[in-house]
Amino acid sequence: MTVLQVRNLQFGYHQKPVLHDVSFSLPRGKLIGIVGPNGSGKSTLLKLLAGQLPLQQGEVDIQGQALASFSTKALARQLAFLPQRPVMAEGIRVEQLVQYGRHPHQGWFNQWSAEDARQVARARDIMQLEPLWQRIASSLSGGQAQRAWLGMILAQNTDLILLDEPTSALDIGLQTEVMESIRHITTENRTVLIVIHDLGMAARYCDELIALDEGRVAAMGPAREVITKALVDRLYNTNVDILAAPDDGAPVIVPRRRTS
Amino acid sequence: MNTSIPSGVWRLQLGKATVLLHRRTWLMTLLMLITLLLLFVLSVSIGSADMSMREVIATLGGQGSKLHEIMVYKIRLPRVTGVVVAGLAMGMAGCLIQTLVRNRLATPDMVGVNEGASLAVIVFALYLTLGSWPWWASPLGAALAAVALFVLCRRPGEQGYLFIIIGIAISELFNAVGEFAMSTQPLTHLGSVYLWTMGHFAHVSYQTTQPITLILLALCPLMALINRPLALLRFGDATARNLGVNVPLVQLGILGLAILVASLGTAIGGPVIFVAMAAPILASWLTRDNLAPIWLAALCGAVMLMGSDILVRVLAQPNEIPTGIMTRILGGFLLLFLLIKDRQWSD
Repeated sequence: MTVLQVRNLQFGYHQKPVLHDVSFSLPRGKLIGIVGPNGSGKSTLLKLLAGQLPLQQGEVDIQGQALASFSTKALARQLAFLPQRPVMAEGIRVEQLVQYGRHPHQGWFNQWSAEDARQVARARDIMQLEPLWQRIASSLSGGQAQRAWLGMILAQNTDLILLDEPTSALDIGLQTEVMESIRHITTENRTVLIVIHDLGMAARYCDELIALDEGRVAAMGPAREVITKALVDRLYNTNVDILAAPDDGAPVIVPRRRTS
Repeated sequence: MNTSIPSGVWRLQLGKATVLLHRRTWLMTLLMLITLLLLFVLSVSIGSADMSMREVIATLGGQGSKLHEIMVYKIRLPRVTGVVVAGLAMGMAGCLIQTLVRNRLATPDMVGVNEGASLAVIVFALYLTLGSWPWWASPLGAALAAVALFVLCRRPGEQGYLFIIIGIAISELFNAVGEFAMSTQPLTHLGSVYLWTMGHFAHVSYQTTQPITLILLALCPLMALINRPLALLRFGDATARNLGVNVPLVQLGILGLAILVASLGTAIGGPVIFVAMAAPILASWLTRDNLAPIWLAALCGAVMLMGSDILVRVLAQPNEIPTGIMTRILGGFLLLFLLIKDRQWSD
């Protein structure tokens, strides 16, 4: 069974269409990247799948069940969503942030269980947050903060994880660090769907890519098959060269000039 | 490192139910309760006739003289209990709206909710003289101000400063209408209403405080229920929703509660600036993080209003000046401090 199935999704803000007839399904345990130019509908698509925007037309099934049939809390046990620029509450320690990830599993008379403790420890270890555990989260650097957020998302213990540009504000070293952490998540048989701008990073780390162009799926499939000169030239209106990385042949995109 | 329970909490286990109590939060709650009790006794002991704190305690325990009993129960206790209840309500309301808008400057006294409440009370008190104090009119006026605010500013969690600026405009407007209403009346007729608009607790009676206390008590379970989602709203709508909070429903609940509580707080002794803004700040400072619970903000509110009330009575003796004058002075300093601090952040 697929973790997520999307059929004929359409969406618009105030009559202005953003997505047209988007359909795909996600296999379990894979890292899938959504790529495409600015304004192609990537973030909107992710927000729709996360239940952050109301569905207008089309169907989204999570674990074979309609998205709309989940309560907010039940949905939060099925999928975790990290927005592009999450708001950090002031004065919160990293430990507290990660523990908030357990909220969908808790209730007024069930504020802390053995399972909560287990999942928080697991999230902390995967994201290597131990040295930061008692730090104030709003004082962390960009890469550290992103790891703390991912810790919260992991503590949620969901099969499906949606991340909106998790690496966009980071330098190349931190991007690699965060992408490796995300890769690690998929080894637990979880499915991760990310919006990502850097095509080189996307091709290197993602199993599959979905390329969006003006709200339509322009290409879909294994990352190295999707990233072709023809597609990149067309999507970004830019003439590019695509080279192969010396060690494993992963595509490296070198822009040459803007075509329109 | 041990994660078997979160650090800094006590875990209560009753059968299958587990409840976490944050150690520092509860110690501070206890501290504020003791402070409030001490101020309460001190406040009753202050007045034109001398009375020691020991005599106050004896009288409250039923061991006082006839004269002291009359002084305490008839004259001083109505004022002091009015101050406590109003302070509690203002602390609660401030905590709720500050969290909803995610801005410390957004308090009922800044965004027009209190002015709406006062206007309604003024109109009913001046034109529809019904004999008793029309405290029950205050939620109507506050709701009117809130509706105006939300029609003009749709998403309070996303546009903090716009919300506040529109709120200040609405509050000025309501203020002006209130002053106009008062200016149409002969000065002799105004007396207590005018003093009330400046935040005056000298004429508070049990007929006002009692029903308001009962309503606040009835709202307590709702406050407890909203405390956890309230903490998550501080991470913004998207993250709160991701963590399972039904954001629109919770926001509506918070807003409704805040308006009701703020207006009831205003109804007792009049609109008072400063307490609603400062109480949640003191509470989060005491707990060392910004997730101080509603009840602690409420206790801080009561302590602050009581402190201000004691201060004006001591400073102005033997005259009576409105408590709101003192809070306005303190509030002015606090507002300046916050604005300067905010400016440093944005640099």
